[in-house]
Amino acid sequence: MASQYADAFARVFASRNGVVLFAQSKGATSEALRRTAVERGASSVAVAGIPEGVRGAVAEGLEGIEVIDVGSLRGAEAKEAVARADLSVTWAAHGVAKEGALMEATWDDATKLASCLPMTNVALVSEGSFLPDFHAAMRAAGKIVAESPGPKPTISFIAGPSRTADIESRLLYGVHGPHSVVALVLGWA
Amino acid sequence: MTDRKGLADKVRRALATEGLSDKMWASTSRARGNRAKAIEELGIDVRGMKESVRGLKQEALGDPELPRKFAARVEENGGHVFFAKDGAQAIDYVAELAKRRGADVLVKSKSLTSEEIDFDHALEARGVRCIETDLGELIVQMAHERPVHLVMPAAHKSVADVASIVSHGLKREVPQDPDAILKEVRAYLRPMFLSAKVGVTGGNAGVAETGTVVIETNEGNGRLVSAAPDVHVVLIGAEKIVRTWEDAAEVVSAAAISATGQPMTVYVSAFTARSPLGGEGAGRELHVIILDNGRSKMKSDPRYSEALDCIRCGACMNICPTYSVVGGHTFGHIYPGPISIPWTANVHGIDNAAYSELCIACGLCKEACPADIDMPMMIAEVKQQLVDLNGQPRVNRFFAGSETLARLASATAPLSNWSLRPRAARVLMEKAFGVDRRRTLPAFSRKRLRSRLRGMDAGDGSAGKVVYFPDVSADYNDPELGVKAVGVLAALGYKVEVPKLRWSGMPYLSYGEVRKAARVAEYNVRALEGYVRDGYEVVSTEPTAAYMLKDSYLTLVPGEGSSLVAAHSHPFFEFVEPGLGKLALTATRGPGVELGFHIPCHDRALTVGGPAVRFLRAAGYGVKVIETGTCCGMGGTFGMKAGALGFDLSNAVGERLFDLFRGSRCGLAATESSVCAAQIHDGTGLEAVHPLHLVDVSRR
Ligand code: SF4
Ligand code: SF4
Repeated sequence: MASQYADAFARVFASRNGVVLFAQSKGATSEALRRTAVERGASSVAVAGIPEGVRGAVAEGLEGIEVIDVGSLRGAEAKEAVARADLSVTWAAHGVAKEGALMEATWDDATKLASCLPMTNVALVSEGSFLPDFHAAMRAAGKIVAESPGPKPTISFIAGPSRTADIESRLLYGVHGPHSVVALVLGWA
Repeated sequence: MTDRKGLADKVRRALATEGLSDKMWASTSRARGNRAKAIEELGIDVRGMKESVRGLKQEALGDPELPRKFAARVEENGGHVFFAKDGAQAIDYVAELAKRRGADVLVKSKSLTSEEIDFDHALEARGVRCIETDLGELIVQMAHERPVHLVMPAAHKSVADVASIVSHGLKREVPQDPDAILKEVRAYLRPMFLSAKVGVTGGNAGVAETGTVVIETNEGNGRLVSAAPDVHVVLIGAEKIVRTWEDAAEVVSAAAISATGQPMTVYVSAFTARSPLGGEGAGRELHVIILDNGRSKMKSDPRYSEALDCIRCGACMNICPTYSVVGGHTFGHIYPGPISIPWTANVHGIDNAAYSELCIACGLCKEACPADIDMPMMIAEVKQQLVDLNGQPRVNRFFAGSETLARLASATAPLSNWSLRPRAARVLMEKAFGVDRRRTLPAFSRKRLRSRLRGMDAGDGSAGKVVYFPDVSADYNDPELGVKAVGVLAALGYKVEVPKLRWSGMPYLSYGEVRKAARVAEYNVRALEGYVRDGYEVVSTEPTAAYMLKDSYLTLVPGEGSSLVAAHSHPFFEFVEPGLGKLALTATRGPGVELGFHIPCHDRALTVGGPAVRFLRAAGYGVKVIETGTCCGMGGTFGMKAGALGFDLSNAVGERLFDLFRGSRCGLAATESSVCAAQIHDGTGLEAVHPLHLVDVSRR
């Protein structure tokens, strides 16, 4: 079922100008990250909110590139560092099949800014985390918020790159947020 | 006092502004097309969506404690809540906050609620500069204008216009290239996002169960505005608060589908508490301002309470024919488009809502609205208020009295017909009553329908019993149509009655005479109710009449009678379609005539032309449905009025349809509405007739 959702997600996300890559192993994940960073000419990469078990694969993929570990920076310094990055690697708690979206839950705005500021955002998402549609995802989001014992997270749904049609209804990408969003679907995590 | 001349001048100027109508029309038609495509591709059950949005909004608005519950949750999570009675209070609060935080510049993402209270200018006057970060909003801010559309604020600007505005705003030459403009804007705004101490967003929904604010954007500016500055201010209308996350999901997805045909906007963000930045929470604040500004008053007024169900998707603008050619600076006050009329009347004062005269009562905004808001009825109420205040303009009085006029003209036909034809008579009519001299007025029949039917076979009743509702056209102008309709019904085995009824009363609604419309509805419902209880079905060949019976009467005379009549009323072709197999249909024109078919607006809520098209095809015609996706521009008798507040505006809308008819090479036009037929005929020179006139019908 999960991969059916992931496939549906991939079709819709791609139709919204998002890029979808699948990785079935740690090695494939590192390789996809490395290739993406090279293709985009990224010389600095902001990494934020990546769960423990996936960090190794991310670190390996970005070897040789300047990595900004957002979680280790304090206050405005974090914001400025993220703004300097060419690419970011972030984590999505869920994928949403029908609408082709990623759902991010962040407890720190520096993590949220990591998926907002750089020109390219690579969002890692577990293949097992996909939900059928936006309504189900909102229910899940509501539950995360209601059940978070401490500070409440911010939930962001991201359905492709930042876009506008404000000039003669022409579709343009990257007006404020990323020009390109890559969903890297992990079959192993 | 209503300034009709001022309004007419504005319309004239809008129509004469080079490219304005074309740009507005292009934007709204694209949005209409995207919405229709999304509905089809995603398999959206529009009726279900409307019921669900309406239901959840009504439930939320019906709970007076909900804003307090929401506020309590926000505060529990460390946020600050301020209930602002009006715009001035909201602005004071933000100005004080900005002062306290040492902010002389705010960054803001699109917020229609802030437009409502003239937020930017008011803060500017207090020494706080407010930078719009949504591209369209930034363009209109730099141009010192107001948004022309809720969702597409700069829909009236070309690339060249935008390049020149941005060049001026940034004080450097920006090329006339959308990508280059985008780069410049990104580079200009980026440091603003990063350095601003205060960011302001609106809220598409407030979720009471957790105290969460949900916002939708496509550009991502809302995420930056809410995350980068230390202080996040949310300005949210009290009516936006819903109960649950599921309700919020319904609202935001209905808004995205209806606004731009997207299954969801690119970004949907939900904030419940102020998050720290880089682990530091000191000085990070969330302020939620819940704005009333006339909403409580609206909520307690049954005429306008539905306006609070609005989820600000802009679909009503995209479908509105007259808005689509003049834009929101003419068809609007601060808010643009159809929903702005009741909103303006209540929030900014009835005198500012005189542009309600630009509504031609086509009813399409209600059809497009994901919350099923009855804007046409609310607009009629606004017009009624204006009539009560200022009196009815002579031309509107003339047309609102069409039923009496028809009676007179029919009683004096053919003299009345002959006397209306010469040019001198038309000029006189224009001068005396405001009827446009360029318009072909319908001829009247001396013999009305009931006398025509005398002695005719009224059916044996083997299939059931029917009341035929002719309305003005099939009674006074074209009783032959009524005769044919009764003939078809009788041939199908129905026993047909044509009792004494009044017209449908729609012109009373169009011209803001709601009380008179209610009296007509009461008369007709009383007359029809007994028949329905006796097993009769009510059938009309005039789509507007069928729409009134099935829809508007329910509001005009709520109760068991109108509900019963509505449930048993039918558009003609839908009613006869199941029995067509029993009939022999012969095309009276041809062979090989291709018909251009036009769907009347009021039928869009009923059959969308389907049964009439199938009827014509069954008779052997090739039928092309010729569509702009909105009205032909006639709007009942609106297009018969002289000048900018009538014929000119009506024609500016109609031109788009006329072009399609001309390009279709169809030799003949068919439409079920008598007034649409007149518009198509006058605009294209084509003969335009009711489908029943094109087919001979007999029993097999
Ligand atoms: S009824 Fe028609 S003309 Fe009037 S506001 Fe609605 S869409 Fe526009
Ligand atoms: S009135 Fe209806 S269609 Fe118009 S903006 Fe509001 S929700 Fe959308």
